[in-house]
Amino acid sequence: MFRYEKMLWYPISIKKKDLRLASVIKTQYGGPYGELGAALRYLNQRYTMPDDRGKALLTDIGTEELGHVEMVVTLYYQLMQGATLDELKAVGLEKHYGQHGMEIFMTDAMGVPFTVANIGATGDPLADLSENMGAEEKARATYEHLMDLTDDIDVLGPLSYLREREIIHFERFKELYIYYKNQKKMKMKKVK
Amino acid sequence: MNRKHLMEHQKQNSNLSTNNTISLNLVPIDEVLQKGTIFSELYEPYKIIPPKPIAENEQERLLHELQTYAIAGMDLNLFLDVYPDNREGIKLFNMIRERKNEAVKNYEDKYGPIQISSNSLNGVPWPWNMSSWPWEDENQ
Repeated sequence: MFRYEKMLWYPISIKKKDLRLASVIKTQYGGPYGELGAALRYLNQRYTMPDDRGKALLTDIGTEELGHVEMVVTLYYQLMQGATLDELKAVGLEKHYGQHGMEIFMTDAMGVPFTVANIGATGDPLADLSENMGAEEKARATYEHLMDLTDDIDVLGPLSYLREREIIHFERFKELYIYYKNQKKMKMKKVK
Repeated sequence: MNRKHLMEHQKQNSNLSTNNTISLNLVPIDEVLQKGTIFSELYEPYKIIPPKPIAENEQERLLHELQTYAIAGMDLNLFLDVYPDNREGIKLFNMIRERKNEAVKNYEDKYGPIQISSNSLNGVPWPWNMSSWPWEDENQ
């Protein structure tokens, strides 16, 4: 089961509205390298991990990612806070407003809806874990691009935090990957 | 155990090799929130030194303390998933876990429930609805 804790992982308190940045940051919600995809990928993969290390790590990182989804959406809403229709139109967000009003929708920065079509689920721990290492690096790169697009310290703090977590997750996936790889090698030797 | 003791414990135990051969090089506890990790060798900032979150009032101070222990606990949790025999990590995790539980209680006693298991939920009207939602910033 899952339970909600009524707090963010990291404090977010944005004073300066930035609609354009909000519409780009949204990609870490519904985009290809986003937090929603990460959470679903790991929580889906955990059932076929070969031992308790894998089941634990995939469960725990998947759960942490759900909290990152909440952080990204918080960034979006605080950056959009108090936006007028004229301001929305000025940055080309009238299409979004027409479809969704002021509600966020799960798309990438270009408006492409969230899809699970390309999420790796191979049933092979080595294939799944190496996909996860790639996913963490792609998310890290995306956070760096987002950091390049702003100099608002209130946004850079949470983005730095989210980026750092990608580094941690990459490391743990890599360590588990190496552990499983060595186990497999030992088994193969026995076969020979 | 207070924060000072915890930091001293970390100092004494940093660079300590365990029988699992992994040594824990730790970020000082009061930098964990800023750096986003408790593992100093995995702290790799991009372009800027991340800003240190500044508490503007008592509520934020208690929340930052809670977030600090939540992050440190999560980090050790993931580490132990992969290294389940690391005694030093287990000891540290449990120390952080106790500090987090205390921080949750300290916050909830004053500012309302974080967890649905909170003692602060015994009130009318329903206290779960009364505290602000995490995505809403009261300073805005």
